[in-house]
Amino acid sequence: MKNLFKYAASYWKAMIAIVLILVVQAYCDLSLPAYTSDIVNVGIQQGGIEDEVPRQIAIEEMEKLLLFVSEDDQQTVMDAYTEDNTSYKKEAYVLKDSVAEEENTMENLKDILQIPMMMTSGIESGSDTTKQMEDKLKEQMSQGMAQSMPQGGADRTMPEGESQAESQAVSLDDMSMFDLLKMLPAEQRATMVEKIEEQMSEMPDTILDQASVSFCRSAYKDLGMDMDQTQIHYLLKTGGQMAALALLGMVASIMVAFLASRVGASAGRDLRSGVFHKVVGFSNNEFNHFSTASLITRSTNDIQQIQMLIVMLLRMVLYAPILAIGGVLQVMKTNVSMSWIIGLAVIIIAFVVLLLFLVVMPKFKVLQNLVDKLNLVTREILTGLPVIRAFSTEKHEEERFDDANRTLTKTNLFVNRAMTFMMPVMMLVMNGVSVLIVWTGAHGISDGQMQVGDMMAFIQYTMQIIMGFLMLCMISIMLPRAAVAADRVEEVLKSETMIHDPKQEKHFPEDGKGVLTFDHVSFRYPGADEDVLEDITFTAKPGETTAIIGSTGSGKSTLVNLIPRFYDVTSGDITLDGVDIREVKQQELREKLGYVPQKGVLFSGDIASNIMFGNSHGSDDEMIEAAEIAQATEFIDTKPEKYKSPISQGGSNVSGGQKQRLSIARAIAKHPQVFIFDDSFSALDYKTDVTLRRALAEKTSGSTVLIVAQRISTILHAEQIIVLDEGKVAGKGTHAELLKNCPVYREIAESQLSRKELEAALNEQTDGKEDQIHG
Amino acid sequence: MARMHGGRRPNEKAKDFKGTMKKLIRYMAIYKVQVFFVAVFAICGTIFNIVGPKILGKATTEIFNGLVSKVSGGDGMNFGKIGQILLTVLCLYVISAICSFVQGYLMTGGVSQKTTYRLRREISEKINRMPMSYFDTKPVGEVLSRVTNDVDTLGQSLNQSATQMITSVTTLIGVFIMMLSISPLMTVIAVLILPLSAGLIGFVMKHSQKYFVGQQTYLGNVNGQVEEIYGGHNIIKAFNKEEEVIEVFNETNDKLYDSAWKSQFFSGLMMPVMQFVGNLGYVAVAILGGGYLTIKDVIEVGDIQSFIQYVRNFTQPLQQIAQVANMLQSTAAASERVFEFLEGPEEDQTVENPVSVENLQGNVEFEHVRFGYNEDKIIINDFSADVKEGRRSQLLVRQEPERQQ
Repeated sequence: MKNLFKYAASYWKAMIAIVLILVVQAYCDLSLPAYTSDIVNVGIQQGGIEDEVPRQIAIEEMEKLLLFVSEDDQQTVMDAYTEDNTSYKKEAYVLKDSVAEEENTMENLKDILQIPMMMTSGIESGSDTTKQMEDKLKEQMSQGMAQSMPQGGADRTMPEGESQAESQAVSLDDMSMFDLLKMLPAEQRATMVEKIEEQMSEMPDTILDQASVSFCRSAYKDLGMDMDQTQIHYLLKTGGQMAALALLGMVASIMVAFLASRVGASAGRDLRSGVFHKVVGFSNNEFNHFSTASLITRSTNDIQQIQMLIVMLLRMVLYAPILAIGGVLQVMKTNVSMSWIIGLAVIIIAFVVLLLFLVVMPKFKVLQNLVDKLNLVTREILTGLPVIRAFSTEKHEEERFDDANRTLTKTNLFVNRAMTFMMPVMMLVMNGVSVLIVWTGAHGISDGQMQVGDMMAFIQYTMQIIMGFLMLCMISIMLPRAAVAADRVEEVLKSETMIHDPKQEKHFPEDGKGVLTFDHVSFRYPGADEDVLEDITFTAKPGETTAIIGSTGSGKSTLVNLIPRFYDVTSGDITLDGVDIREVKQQELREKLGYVPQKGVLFSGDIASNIMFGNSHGSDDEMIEAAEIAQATEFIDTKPEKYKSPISQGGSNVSGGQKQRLSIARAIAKHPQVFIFDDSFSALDYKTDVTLRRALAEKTSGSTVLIVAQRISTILHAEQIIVLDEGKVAGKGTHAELLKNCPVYREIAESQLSRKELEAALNEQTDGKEDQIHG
Repeated sequence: MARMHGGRRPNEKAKDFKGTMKKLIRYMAIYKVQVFFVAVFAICGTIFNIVGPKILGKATTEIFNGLVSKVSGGDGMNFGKIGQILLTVLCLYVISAICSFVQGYLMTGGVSQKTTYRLRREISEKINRMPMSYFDTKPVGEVLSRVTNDVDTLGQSLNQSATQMITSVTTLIGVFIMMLSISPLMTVIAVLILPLSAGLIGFVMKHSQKYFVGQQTYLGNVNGQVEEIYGGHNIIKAFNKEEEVIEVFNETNDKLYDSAWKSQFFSGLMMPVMQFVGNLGYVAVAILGGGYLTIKDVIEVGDIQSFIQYVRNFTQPLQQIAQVANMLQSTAAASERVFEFLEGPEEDQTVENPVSVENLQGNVEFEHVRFGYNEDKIIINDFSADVKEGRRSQLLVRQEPERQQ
């Protein structure tokens, strides 16, 4: 797991930038809901007015308000306003700017004016309750007035036929509620206000505030202000702010996506490059240890997984906690008593995810193996098609395939079904949580502990927190797979190859001719119990052909693999021109060698690039010469593009024999001092073999030639034949000598050629030699 | 082993999208019934999800009403009614979850897995019926890729895209209907977001396409290089080509990096852009509807509220549909390759009246045999030979380069 984070952490600068931008994004995302609700609540429902204290109010309206304000407070209120008789269609009071900017004063004003505003608008609304109140008041007043009316009043002139009381009653009817109230003594009014205040204390603030706003609205309307304009203006302003915030959020999100994808891709690129570099330097030991196929997977598929996970990490894992923390902060601001719900939700989700994890993870791992198995079976069927058809085992193979197919499908089914189980459950938990919040919230609101708006906000923020948590859970499921991949990659990166360049490098002598000596060389594979080669001693001289022959498994290829240092000897040493090959840089050593492997290996490109593989600055003449010697011109010339004919990956578009010849040409074109032919002529028929070696002999007359062969006929004419038997030298000498002295050799020879042929070949040899001497 | 990539599948275009999709649908026609049920359950699940919030809103209104009534001296909150509403909502959600689960269960298990199983089996059976010549020209890896990678792509995307498509379209239609039910006029405004979103989605997708293709190509190149170099690493060493090989690799690697980050970026672009469009739509509806229309008293305030919520939910299914369309591309590409293989030439397996193979003694006779791997390059011109049972015959051939008949 830590390897994974190590890879990600190397891009720490970008990560810090991402975190900062994410904070901005989270801020936007968390603030947006406030704007959206504002648009609806204030912009639409309240007509765009937020003021809870009227900024401007008609004088007559103010007087109505003041009826309900206590004596002491009246002065505070009047101080806050100045007269303005020109701006509006009525004479008005305007709130002083200095007052408007001061929060405390505004709060104060609001507290003073809130109930009066409610009462005024209540009375003005002309509702039934108001009517009732009005009638009652009128009754009271007419009684009161009648009582306080002095008897007599002879000096008053009265209209004929009307009693004073009647005229009073008539004029009362004409009066509005406010006029009536004006006539009431102040204390009575104050008591009224107190009573209403008591009732209103139960009312949630939101309703009171809304009533204030509503009053302000009607006050403005009364003054002739264009309410529609105000509303639209507010909507545009808030809408604009919201759009800007959304834009900012989007920009932040895009920047994060940009950074995250770059970091992820960089991680992938750097890992790929690092691994490739490392593996190219690996010796056969490491390739055997890991297996080529595994190395390929590690270099490609595993890195791909790491890359994807890093991107996801950066985009989601960093965002989720920020979102969740933001949500928690918001929640703490509103109401803490319901936070247990969040805890509950988180626990349930964690539980479900854990369950899934435990059940599904093992199947995931098995799944990968099953896919491998299917791959394997299919590959075998395809590569062994001729055999299957020849032996008519198609049915059997189909059954094998079906087996693997069935098992894979079953496991897949299980895994996929488990995953589909998860989503609905998560949704259900989230929805269930909302329901729970509403239920609990209802009780809370009823008890006056919170407001409806709080509850709605709580739902939103809970959702956010849960989302954040969910994202983390999702990632944690994907994490192990990528972590395994990271470990595998790290394994490769940490491996030390066994074949090193020496600390103190020596050089081959300038005038070295290419004398290759094996001095009591023994070799065993790392970790093996037995030697594959035991005590091998011989010298291969320049201008001579040294052949190595032996039955299958006698260690021939292993022997020649020691020369280019594909492996190092376990005891003894190999020297070239007197210098131990381990004391020279590998590059220098290999510069002198022309290696042709047992099985031809070509690389994608064209024929020319393959032949000149070891000699990229060589001329076309050198190329053609090499091809001629290797007997390859015959098929190259028949191709339409000749030397420019493309070679596909692994050389799959040429036959085995052609590959072999091109490999030989490749070695020739390098003009090496030492030629190593590891059973390279086996894919050629006898005639080509002979012709090739004859041409080769001319070209390689100064070089040291080592041939590993199975065919006696190939090596009959070698100056030195080394017979290997079970890793030991069973004989050394020429063909004639060995026939006489080496039973192992004789056995091999006789199994391949008849006596007559051996004699003939021998004579050919001696004849040839005579020609050489005389010619 | 590209199987377990949980993330984006890079895009490959099929050569004949329509034809291939038709074939695919026909192939899956066996599962008509199941697919039908999947659709039904998907639609049910989605409908409940759409309606749920609205009913929950009713509960909120109830609470509000209860509050007001309490304040004005009434009974206070009607917990009974609230409880009832909440219970209904909960049931709806549970039913929705069950529907989703059943739908997922049927789809993954019943349909897509069975389809992939069938496809694989048919491929394996097909292999044995095809002539050898077919396999001479195709590298093992390619056929292998069809059996594993392509069938897997098919299976996975079937899974995801089919259900996603159904739910997204249903959500879209459902939300559309709800919006219409509130106000046809406002719906028109909202629908204007559609072309904007569609335009943006199209723009992003078009431009990202080439990076997806590029990524896939370079990935293939890198993979190929890795396979080749690792396979022939000894030769590389023996000819001191390490430096050069690393250089070439780094070049390809850099190209891969380029298309990789760009394609990742573009795919990560969609969501924020879509969200932004959604928010813009919200603002537009709020201003136009809330401001203009309410002032004109055409719409009620409460309706605006729910309308706005639905507008918010409009762009999400759009984006999901776009993603599915993307996925369909690679589905089509994969199925095209699979079907191509399944429709390949076959050998004539049967003969009119097969002769019994019993009592075969092993007399093989070649009569004027003429053969070439290609029609125009005949290798064997006129070969006749009689190989009697129990005798050992030796085939001696004069120098021909290819002797591997």
